[in-house]
Amino acid sequence: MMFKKIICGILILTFTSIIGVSAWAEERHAIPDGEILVIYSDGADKAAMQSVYDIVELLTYQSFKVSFVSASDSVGELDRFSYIICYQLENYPAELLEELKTLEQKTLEDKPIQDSGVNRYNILFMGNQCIRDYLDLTNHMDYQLNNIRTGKLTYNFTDLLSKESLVEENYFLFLKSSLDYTSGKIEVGNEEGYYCSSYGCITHIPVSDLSDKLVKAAFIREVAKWKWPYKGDPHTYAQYIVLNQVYPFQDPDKLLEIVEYLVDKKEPFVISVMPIYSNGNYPAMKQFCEVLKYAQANGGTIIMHSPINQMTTFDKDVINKYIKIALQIYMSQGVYPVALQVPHNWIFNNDTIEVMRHFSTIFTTDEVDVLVDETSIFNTNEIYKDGHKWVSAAVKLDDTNVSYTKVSSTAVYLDITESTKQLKDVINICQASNVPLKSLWDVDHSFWTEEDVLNYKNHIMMLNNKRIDTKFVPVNYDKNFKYNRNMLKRFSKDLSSENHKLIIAVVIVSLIFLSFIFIARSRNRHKFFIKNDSKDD
Amino acid sequence: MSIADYLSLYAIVAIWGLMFINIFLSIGGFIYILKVNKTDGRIPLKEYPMVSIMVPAHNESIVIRKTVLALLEFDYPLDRYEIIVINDNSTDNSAEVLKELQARNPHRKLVVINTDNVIGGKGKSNALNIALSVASGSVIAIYDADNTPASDALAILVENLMSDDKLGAVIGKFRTRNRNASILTRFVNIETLAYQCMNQAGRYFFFKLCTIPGTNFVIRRSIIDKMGGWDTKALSEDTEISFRLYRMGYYIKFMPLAVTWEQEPQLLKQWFKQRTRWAKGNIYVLIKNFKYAFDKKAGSMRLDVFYYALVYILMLTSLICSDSIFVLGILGLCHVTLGGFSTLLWGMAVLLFILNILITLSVEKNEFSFQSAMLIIVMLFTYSKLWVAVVVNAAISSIQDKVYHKDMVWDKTERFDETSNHKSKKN
Repeated sequence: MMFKKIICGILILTFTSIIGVSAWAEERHAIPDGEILVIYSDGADKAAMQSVYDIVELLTYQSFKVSFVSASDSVGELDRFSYIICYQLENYPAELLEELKTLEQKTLEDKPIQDSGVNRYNILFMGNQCIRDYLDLTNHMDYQLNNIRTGKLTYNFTDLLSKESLVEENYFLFLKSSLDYTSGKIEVGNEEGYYCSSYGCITHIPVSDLSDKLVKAAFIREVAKWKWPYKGDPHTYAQYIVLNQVYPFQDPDKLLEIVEYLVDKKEPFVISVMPIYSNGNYPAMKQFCEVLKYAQANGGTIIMHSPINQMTTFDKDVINKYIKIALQIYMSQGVYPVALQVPHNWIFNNDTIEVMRHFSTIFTTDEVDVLVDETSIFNTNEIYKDGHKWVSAAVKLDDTNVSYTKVSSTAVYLDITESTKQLKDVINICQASNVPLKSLWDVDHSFWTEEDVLNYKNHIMMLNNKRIDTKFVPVNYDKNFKYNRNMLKRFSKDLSSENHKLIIAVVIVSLIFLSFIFIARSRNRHKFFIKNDSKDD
Repeated sequence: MSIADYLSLYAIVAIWGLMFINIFLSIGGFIYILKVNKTDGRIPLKEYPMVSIMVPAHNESIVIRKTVLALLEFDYPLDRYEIIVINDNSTDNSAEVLKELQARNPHRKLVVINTDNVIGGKGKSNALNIALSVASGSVIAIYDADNTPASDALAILVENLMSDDKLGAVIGKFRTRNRNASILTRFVNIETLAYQCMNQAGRYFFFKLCTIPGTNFVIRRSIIDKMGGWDTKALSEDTEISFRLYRMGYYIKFMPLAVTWEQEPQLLKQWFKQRTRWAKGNIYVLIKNFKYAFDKKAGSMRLDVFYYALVYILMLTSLICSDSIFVLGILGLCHVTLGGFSTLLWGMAVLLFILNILITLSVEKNEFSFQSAMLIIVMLFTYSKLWVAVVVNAAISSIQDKVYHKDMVWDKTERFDETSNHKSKKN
């Protein structure tokens, strides 16, 4: 009897452990597939997580499918990814290093692939703690430690163009062996190290603070090179001059002046217009759109900013409705926005991703939509699958806002409320930059709303299957335009000017009243005092 | 534009509109009063008509002696006027006081009618109808039981009435006898001068329109007879009779030189009760006569109906709107986005309000002072706000009366003993 019980117990234990193991295995496969895996520390703080999001965003602009997980969750999964970024790893399980070691060994053993210059696995360490532990474990490479916390980063974007910045880490580690590749320079005390170095399948970037603009710009460039499987530099992408967030009520003469300057210089440019939802037929709007049409016919392209989100709970249907209205207003005036401009954190939210899905080309800005939750998508850059053409804001390394990187498309945003001279200076710097300028007319675009479909392909624009001609035709203004404002609206609009009339009326009435008071007082005095006195006399 | 914007806009338009109407009336009133002040108001007659002075009194023993003595002192042919006091269902010692006065003035025609709760006690209109039944005069003069008229008041009123056959009634001015009794009576004094006197003068100057104030006026007996007496359902019998008089083709003249002094409520509770009664009465008259606003045959009375409608509907709602928006704005519950909706508008309205009232004080003796100006400012933020509460209360009460089919009750204002300055309840 006892024997039977023991057998049953063993069977139950075996059964439950099989179920448990298969469930665990299922969970382990929850990390989505991707070209690049970003691993961060267990229990990473908010700042570290923000940097992880920044990395994912930058890689998205370079059209990479990215997965990102904590160190513990990545164990056992590393061999599924050819490119692994270990970002600022400080807390992680020991098995992770063993696994990385295995990947490195496999890469070394994989002779044929290595000879072709392509590694089977590529591991990028950002920060110093993890690589130090890894080198201590593998013991196959020397390194140099420096306990000074601050260093000076010098990074060359071209032979003639370098930028400097102060960087900070808990300590600095530099590889000492004969390295395959180094770039940039970090001076720490009297010693000098690199910004990025490679040896075999291991790449190391000692600085990890992406809030530093130069660190970020250098990372964009180095990660593109790291991911580039061939010799030489990755593809060159262009920068776009964007007259940013232009409102219909801004000075059209100034806008026209800048547009004419760009047209004269034969430089392509983009105008980002703000969406409007009513009064699209007003003369002021026609005048504004006339400038846009002139720009559109002379090398300029129009894009539209997304509606400003003021909803605490984002409603994609409402946003889509307003986008549809705004686009129809512009298109009814002969202006055809070809892309949508959004705050950069929109790429991490399911609802905003759905809104962006209506457009093939997306411009992102440095704005943050604080009402949008960035954490609704976990572990991957979900938006990758929508195949957008991305144009991100150029990393601002100086006052000009000009882009220094060309591994993805960038936008140089110009604020047209700045002085004309300042705007012209930036345009001239862009023109002289090593990053080429490009016209959006040379790229295909499309968007769809509930009522409209626009396709721009091979320089032909089709709106709802009808070909659109963007040739400039001057507008005939209706001098006797009827605004159809009702009395209340008109009155409220004119209340400020009515106030002036009211002030004049009040001053006149006050003067009349004061004179009345003076007359009455004078008469009373005469009646009640002077008259009585004379009688008494 | 939000709902708050629309309501603000409405309040601005309504308040400023009414403000300019008042300014307009004040200018006319000022000119008229200056013009009248150049004269002594007298138009001597060859023969003075018989006048019946009617004084409705309900529990008025505190004030009735002073009133009757003042009436006996009128500078008017003694054989040409009679005094009829209707001691209307009083429970105090009014009857004894009046009896004593009769005994002391055996040669004067002082009639006292003591009523019980069967035929009396039904309000001022009923009391006046009882007095009318015994009156012998061709001219009727009405004085409240708390009045102390100037000795020439009756003569001025009657002489003016007789000067024009189209004149149905002549009204005088009333002043606050107990002005310094409390801050409330000071406010009432200012209000009386600004909105009873100056406003009446303005309306008379421009449109020959006046409203009978309930006391210190004379009216032709023949008109009252034609009307069939006073409307016993009306709490504001004065306003009601004014409207009826205009419809009959007569007009009413305002003669500010005929002055009477009356006692005003010293306590807020009594004041509130009195004003609620007036407001209810005016609402009744307004509803009853509103149809005439669109009747061309009603003549200039239409303007008066509109004026009352403006005051009771437009001003009330606009003040409720503006005050509510102000309070909700402070609490952060609503926000006005109207361009030009600023404190400047509000400041200018306050300035005009103060100047408008100061004008009315400036034409009076011993009323214009820095203290008065300060009182006007305090009044704006306290006393004036109470008006809203009064009208709302009156409106609710009127609706309740209508729904529950209640009869209008004439709620008598309590009197105060001015010599000892203590309130004496006689009920």
